[in-house]
Amino acid sequence: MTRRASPLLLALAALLPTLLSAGAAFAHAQLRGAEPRAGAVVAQAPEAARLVFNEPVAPLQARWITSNGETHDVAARSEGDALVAPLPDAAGRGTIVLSWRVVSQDGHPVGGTLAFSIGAPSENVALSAALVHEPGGAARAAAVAKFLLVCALAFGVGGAFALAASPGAATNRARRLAIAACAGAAPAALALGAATALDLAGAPPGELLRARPWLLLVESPVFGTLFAGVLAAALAGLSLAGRETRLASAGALALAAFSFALSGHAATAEPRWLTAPAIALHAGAALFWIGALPVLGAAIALRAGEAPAALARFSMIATAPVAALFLTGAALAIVQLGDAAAIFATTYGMLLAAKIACAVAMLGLAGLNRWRLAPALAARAPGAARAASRSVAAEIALALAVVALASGFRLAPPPRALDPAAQPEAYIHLHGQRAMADIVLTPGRPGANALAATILDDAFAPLDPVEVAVLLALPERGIEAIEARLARGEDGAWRADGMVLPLPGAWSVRAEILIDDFTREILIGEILIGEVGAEEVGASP
Amino acid sequence: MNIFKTVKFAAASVALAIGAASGAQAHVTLETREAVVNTTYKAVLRVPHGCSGEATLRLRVRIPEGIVNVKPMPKAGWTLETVRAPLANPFMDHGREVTEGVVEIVWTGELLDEHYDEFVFRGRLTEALPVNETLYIPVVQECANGAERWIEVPAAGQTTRDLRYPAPGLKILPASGGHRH
Repeated sequence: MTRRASPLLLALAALLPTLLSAGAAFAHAQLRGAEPRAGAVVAQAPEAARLVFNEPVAPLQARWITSNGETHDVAARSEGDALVAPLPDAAGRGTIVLSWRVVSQDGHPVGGTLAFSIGAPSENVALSAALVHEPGGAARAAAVAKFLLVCALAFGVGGAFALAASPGAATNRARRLAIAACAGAAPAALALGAATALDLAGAPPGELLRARPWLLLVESPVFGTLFAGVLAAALAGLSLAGRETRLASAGALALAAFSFALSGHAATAEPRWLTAPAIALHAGAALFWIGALPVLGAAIALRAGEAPAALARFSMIATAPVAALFLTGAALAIVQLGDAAAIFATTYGMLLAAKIACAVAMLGLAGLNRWRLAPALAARAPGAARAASRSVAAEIALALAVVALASGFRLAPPPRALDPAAQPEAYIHLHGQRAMADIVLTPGRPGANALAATILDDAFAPLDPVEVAVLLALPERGIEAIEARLARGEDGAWRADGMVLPLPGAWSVRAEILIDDFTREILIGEILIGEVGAEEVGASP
Repeated sequence: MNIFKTVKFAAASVALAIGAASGAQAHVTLETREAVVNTTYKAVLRVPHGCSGEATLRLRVRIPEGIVNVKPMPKAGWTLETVRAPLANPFMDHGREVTEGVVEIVWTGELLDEHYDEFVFRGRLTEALPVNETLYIPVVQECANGAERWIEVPAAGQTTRDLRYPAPGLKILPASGGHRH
């Protein structure tokens, strides 16, 4: 069982640092403003839209979606802190949407959507299926490729290190697995590179035949990660071939660990002197831990004469890495989350919590191995080998669960796919200490929405605030907050029309209610925007 | 790239959840951010910029419960008004009960966005203030194009850094070693 389960399990290590890396959005380019403004209605089509950021940016993509659903990619240019995206000739009239993506100085792409109208807003913005689905596809492919690459590094590089560190436990089966994993690293890295390139370019797979996505990849920090990862696998392969075994395998592990510190938010989050080494240490420890499991499992299963000694020895040498794994994990979680409450406030946080639970369970099994099973094995107690085999298999299964959680997190779809016909509007009730708000978006689907908010005090009595603003954002799709200042209607409801929500998904809602000049209540929640019905795509005037 | 997406999603969720939606760095702040309870405190409010480039035309300060005997310092070129109201918690001052006090200070004038200025008032921090906690002094900065309201108070688990428009905060320290006025 150990043998069968092992190839998949190796992904754990690399995903740990990835998952632990939250919170650093503050360091990225932020959109400061746009001309025309978001939601503006302009009489004449301008020559170009201008997006102003807080720091210099370079364009990655500028795609216009006109009111008839056509998409036009244009060549945007950067002017210092601004991105200038020329309008397509066929801009026409009605609401036009710019899907943009830029890369800031830290190498991370930031994307968003600007919608405004020429002449008058369209009734319904037809969004191309391409806009809705392409980025998701690339991200999904990248998640799978990342999973494979981490598997390869853990079983290959981590495995090679474990074999070198404990020659007594080395079996042919474990060695073959490690060699196969090393061989798989390069294809996995290539696949991850391709998916990353598409994600950076926001392009369909056909674009891989062109240079642009690849050039974007080479410029991005991910390239360094891929390069170091493949190099580490090659070095581990060398060690498995029997050359300079210890030195090569240690070098390979260090290099693989280092590759994780080269890209990603966690590695660049402040304080960097802490996060980058912590990531490397974390990744290295995880690679070793996971890589050692199949080696251990194979040794026990074959009842190699030295199995008890090997198990005891592994438990000993694993102590420091496992301690490092948990300490660095905790440190990174603190740096990144900043606040324990965030664990329960976000989907991300909850998945992180589940993953930590699995890792703790793995730790429990490791303890069982060390203090119960290893002595039993040494004493040649009946059934000890079987129990140890099972324990290692369970540890591998837990590692797989961790990897599954990590992968699932990346791809977490909107909570439910609602039937648009059954859900003509989106609704949320937000509750605070001094005020609450009932917010309705009509039709609650991608495109132009009317927003209405009823503001009540904490005892459900009508409240007459000074100002109400609502911010909607879809962070998982890289869409920055769209802000609406609501106007008070005669019926007492606060409204804003023409809020263009470009994509379906679970949008974050933030209602800022100014109760009096000096008191503001901020309410936060999530509102679900359903998919556009298939018949509506491209069917708009 | 997933790294970025994942991280961005998580980061943005956290950021949005805690309200750090924009990068407003230069806030209206107090020059002295700590003071001992039951002493007289000189508040210097620092105004580093206008509202999105517009000049500041009025600065309004809400005096929180627990600061009494408030006296704003006049500024050349600015008219100064105070709003007085009955106090929720009357207090004894030199044997005399004080039931009314300044609850709001209003300076009206003009401060260009490219200039910096400070606004000063003095008041006594009463014993009623909880020590080792932060007292927030909400400030509204009014310009021709609207207002920037430095009135946000962190909720449990948040810090000022999580807010877009944090109210200036003053940490109230316990009295130590008989240092009294």
